[in-house]
Amino acid sequence: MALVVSDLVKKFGEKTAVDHISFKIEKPGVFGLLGTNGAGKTTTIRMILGILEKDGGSIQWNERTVTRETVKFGYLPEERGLYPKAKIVDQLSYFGKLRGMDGLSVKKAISYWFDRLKVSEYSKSTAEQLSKGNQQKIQFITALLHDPELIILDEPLSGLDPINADLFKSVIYELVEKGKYIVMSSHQMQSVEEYCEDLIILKDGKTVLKGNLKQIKAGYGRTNLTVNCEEEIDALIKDQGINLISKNATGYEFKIKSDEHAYNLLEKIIVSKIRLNKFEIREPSLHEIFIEKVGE
Amino acid sequence: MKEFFTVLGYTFKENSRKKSFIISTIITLILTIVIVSLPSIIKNIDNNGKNNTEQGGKTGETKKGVVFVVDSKSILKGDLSTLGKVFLGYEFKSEPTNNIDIIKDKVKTVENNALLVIDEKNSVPTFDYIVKQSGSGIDPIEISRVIKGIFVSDLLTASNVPDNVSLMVQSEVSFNVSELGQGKMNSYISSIVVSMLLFFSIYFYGYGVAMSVASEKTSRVMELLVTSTKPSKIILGKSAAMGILGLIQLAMVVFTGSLTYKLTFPENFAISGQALNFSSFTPFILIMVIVYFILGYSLYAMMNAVAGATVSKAEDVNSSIMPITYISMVAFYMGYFSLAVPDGSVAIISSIIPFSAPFTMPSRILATEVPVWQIAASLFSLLITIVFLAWISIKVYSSAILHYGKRLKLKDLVKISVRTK
Repeated sequence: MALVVSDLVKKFGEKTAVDHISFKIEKPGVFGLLGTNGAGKTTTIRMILGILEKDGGSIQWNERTVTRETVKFGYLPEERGLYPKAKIVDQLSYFGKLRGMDGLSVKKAISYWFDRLKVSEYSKSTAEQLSKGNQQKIQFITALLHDPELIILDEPLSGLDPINADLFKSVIYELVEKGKYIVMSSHQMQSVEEYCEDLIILKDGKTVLKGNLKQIKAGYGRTNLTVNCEEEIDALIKDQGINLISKNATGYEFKIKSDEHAYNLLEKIIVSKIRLNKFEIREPSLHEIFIEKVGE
Repeated sequence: MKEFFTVLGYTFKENSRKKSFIISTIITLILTIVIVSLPSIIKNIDNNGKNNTEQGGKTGETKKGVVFVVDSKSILKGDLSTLGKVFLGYEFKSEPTNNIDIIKDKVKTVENNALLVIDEKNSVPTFDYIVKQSGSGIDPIEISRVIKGIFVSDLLTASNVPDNVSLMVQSEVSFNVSELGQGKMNSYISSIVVSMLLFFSIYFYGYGVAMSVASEKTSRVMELLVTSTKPSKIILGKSAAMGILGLIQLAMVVFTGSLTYKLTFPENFAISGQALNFSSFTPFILIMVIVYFILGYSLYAMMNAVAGATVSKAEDVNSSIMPITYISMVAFYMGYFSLAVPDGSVAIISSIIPFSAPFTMPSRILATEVPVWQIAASLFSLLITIVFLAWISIKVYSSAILHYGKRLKLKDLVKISVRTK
């Protein structure tokens, strides 16, 4: 099974919102769809779901055009949508049935997800009575209720507290283990980095970077150095081929040309008898790559 | 088909337990009971009123009105007793001509006073009747009748006509009215009732469809819905659910109305001398009312669903359904005017135009004999238009529901419907 998006184009009047985007998801896992606000992520998602007409290109699932009939998909929209005045359990069973589930299996699925996401106590409440985080959980259930093959999560973690964010992440891991294909858009690079194997970064509708995250990082090489120590070391880095990127409470972030420069700095720190808490030569984080690629 | 019924079932369930639905149903039913039992209430008040005046007359509690009579030509020959006998509640006082201005002042300031100035023109009596407000006090036509009686009997006596002949000349010719067909007034009022009932229910529930669609856009449920099922299933299921709700409410109104009618309606109640009853409601007419409700509702619901889909917020629904409101108002008035001449060409045309047919045809069937071909033509044109509108609506709806921001104009809708295959 695979989702293949090729040469996708969408224009709104003069503006090209999605400009010839192509990507593939060939095995179960989380695919990261990243970009700044207005980069075309949601537009791309809407075209995949078929709720927005595309102006060019193709979207295929198992070599068949994606429609409501050819693939069972679950969708967590960016702008949450629930009936404000309807009971949670009623609207969940409505959405389940609309996707072809029968009464019994809807009931079972609802009770499973209520337990899993710890919201059983709200089943008789209306959506407007719930907190934002709990509404988000209900919305998440609507996306997963019918056991979809392809799951599209538009900003799934935004607005969640750390505990609930972890709960969501554990569910996402579970889904991956069950062999689900997940497309996830997010602004939170750290969370994407945790479980995205492949990703695409969009800017103004154009692809600025795509591929396997590990390979992308490896391609950059170990160009970053993190140092945390008890004293100031600004004086030590002069003429060392080291560039200071940032300096804050957690320490220094440097860009280095090669590992040699880092070891030179380490020697100096030790000679100066400065106490060292952390010294790490590493690949750039997704966050840094994103800023570099998109922030220009 | 399964999804259609899922949408229908859910929409029906959610809307039927809404407070607004329950309250509006109760209010409508109470209004129905009040309106239908109005005749018996009126009759009761009437009876009570009569009892009161009778009692007042006996005990002399009510103050008598005074009518000042200026009779310079002496037509009544100074005898005011005839007037006094006819108008028991009034005292008649003879006054000289030069007092007229003073009396006018009295009439103006004192309640229940009047001035009668009798004169003669071409040897025939004539009079000025001066009251504080016209319509209060004695009906001048009655006074005229009494004066004429006195004048004629004097005239006949002067010509040596025997008294019994004179009496016969003056006697009123009595008459009885018996109706064999439907009273015109009767079917007219029933027709208006049917027309209004259809108009309000079709308009109200069409509005409900627009609101329901727009609120799904506001709450952003729409994205979830359209990824779950076909938009056509949503629009049709939703419209059907609201239609059934409307039908149930309509049935409740009709049932409550007819029950109240059976229980409270006074026999031989009449407005302006015309007997009023609703016996002209035959099963055929009831079926026609239901058929026209279903068709009329479907027609307007399709347009309303699109109107609801063009806006992003429920608050904007009113402005977006404005064109539909205009169409339905014009259609309703066409139906209303065609009631005046239910067989006229305006009536025939407006009962065949699909938009006005629901407000015209059922009431026409009630009021007159409508040829079968007209009913057939009316139903046919409605059906064709519904199918056509549903087809366009589904196309436009699918695109419009995901449009957010500025309200879509008619121009944009046309563009969308052309683009959508």
